Amino acid sequence: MRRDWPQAAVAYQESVTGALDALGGVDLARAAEADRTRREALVAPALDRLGLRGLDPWGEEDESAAIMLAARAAGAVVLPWPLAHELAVPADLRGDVGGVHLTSGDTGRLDHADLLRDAVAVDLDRGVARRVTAGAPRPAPLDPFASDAVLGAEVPGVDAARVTAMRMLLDAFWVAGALAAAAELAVTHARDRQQFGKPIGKFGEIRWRVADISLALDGLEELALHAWWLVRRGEARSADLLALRVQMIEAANTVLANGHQVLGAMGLCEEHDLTVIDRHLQSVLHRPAGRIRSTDLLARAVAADGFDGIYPVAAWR
Amino acid sequence: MPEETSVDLRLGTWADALRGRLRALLAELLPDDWTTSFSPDQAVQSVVTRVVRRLAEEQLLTLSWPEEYGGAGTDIWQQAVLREEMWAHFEPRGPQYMGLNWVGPVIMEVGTPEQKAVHLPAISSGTAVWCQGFSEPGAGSDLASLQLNAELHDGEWVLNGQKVWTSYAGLAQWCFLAARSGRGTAKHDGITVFLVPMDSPGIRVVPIDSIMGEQHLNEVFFDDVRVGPGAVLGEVGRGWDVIRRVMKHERIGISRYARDERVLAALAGHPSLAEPAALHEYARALVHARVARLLNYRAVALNDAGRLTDREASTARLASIQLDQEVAQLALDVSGADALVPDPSAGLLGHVEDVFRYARSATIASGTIEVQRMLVARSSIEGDRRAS
Repeated sequence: MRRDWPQAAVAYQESVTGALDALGGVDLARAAEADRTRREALVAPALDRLGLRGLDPWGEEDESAAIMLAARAAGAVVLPWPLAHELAVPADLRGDVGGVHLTSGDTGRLDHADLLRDAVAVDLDRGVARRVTAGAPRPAPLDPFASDAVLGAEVPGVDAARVTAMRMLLDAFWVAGALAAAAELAVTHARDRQQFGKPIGKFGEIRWRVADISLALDGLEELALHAWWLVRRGEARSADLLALRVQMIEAANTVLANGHQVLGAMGLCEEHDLTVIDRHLQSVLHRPAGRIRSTDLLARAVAADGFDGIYPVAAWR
Repeated sequence: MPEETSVDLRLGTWADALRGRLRALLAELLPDDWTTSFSPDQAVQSVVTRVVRRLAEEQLLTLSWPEEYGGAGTDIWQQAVLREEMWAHFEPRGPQYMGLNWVGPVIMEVGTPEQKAVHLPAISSGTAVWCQGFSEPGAGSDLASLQLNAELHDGEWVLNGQKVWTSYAGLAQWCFLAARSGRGTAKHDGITVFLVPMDSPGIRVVPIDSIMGEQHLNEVFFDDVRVGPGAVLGEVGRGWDVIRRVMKHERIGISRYARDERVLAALAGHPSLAEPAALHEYARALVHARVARLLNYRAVALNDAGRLTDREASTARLASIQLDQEVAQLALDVSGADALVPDPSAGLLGHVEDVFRYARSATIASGTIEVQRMLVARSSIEGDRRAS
């Protein structure tokens, strides 16, 4: 078993992290939320300098790994750019399709729909891609880059299962990066904040929360690595990606809720990165489906297709 | 896709072959209603003996042990697969698993040539049963507070005190005993580990009935028990270092997720899963089982590379023990009230009550869930610590 990421991919991740930190890190999300035009003015040139938008996640191992780790780095600052949407478009379709949204049932709003040209929305239930027409921006605290969206005609030639898998994979790495950043904020606070004459990280209640954060995050990281490897081998089934999505949502709920408890009132402030990370993550945690619906989709996939393991679950429907 | 990739999460085709071989062997040797090896019942222990001897004959008992100690010298992953298959089948090696998983490896690490010569062949041939003398009435999670007294008299160590929650004490020939031989500036100082024959005069074992069944828990009393200086494992007064090694092996030593995966596979298609709420919980448990397995694999890989820290070791354990209780509860819920009574004719699902009872101890045995959380948090907040 070899489980270490390729060195070239790790080095690329460090470059992406450095470039995004130089742009202000999470402040970039704040700036773009205040003025949407900053997405194209500030973020797009930086991504182009990194060459990230031109990479192919279905490419060679180093390239594919570099993209996953870059998505993680972008998630760590909740980058105000639909990176996963863009990268989930297969290379041969990028001239015609600008991005991939995932939906489950009817939807009236999509994130970054105003930014993406010629985007499609792939419906998880029906497995078809439809053209997206963006309407007016509808920013909200939990959906800062939302726009009205109308789904139109089916778009032929899009391998729905393939792009869905890649989008879900990229989302998981994005969220893992964001949760790692949130976890670091909580751990640092537990170490530095003094109450009752000692660091709060010395108290059992805080330590348990830090442990639960670590467990949730590590579980997501390992499952994301595993799912990426399955996709690379062409062995990932719908249930594998949905399992990743369920773990992603559960991990996010654990990390964010416990992170807020560790940080207390300070973490609720807009000045604090935790609040920005929390708010900006909600879109990916609820689109195409939140915890309950995602679990239902997984359950149906397991019943229909089974689930791999050392004792594989046989399909029964 | 290139043939040689940086990341390859397969265990290899050998793993499937080894699983197949082990499952065939266990299907041949285990009774249909096999659920526990803890019973002192002669019929149960004869099954354990049969399985262990057969594994030893086929060089499967100590796969990853070095050949010089009677092992097969294979890599750590084969041992991991063996652990999975054994635990998935209710650990038919019985008490032998302790000797194989951590007593033997720790003796290899810190034992004298004489201790290695006496104990390792016996463990690798499946002829020695060990128990662990750690917990005391006043020292549970706070193990370093242990008080069982060890004093040197006329060249012999004299042991006095009590151990408790000691599994297999009634069956064991040897006890891996932690005792207080002195006082240091810290309570971790002054502890010494002894390898004590259980037939030594002055040792008395008192079984404790528990929710898990017979022989799981015992009290062990030591009244003027005498052992020679050769019984000391490691350095006198530095026993905590030895105990940390034991804990490291223990934390990745039990593959609880494997039995949970087997139970979940057996539940597939159960009529109760037609209920969406049950099916949702089932699907979530499958995710958690996969996560637990992957976190355990991470710990095994890092251990193999000498890079395992408390964070990864205890994270793997936290995932496993919580999964164990989640799956036990789910299995009993899905199976319905009739499953509260064991049904030997119903295969694995006829024993979910046993799975449930045993899972009650998952977050307590071998270091409580609270201690595991403390270790993970300390590693995160104060920096990584090597798990040994």
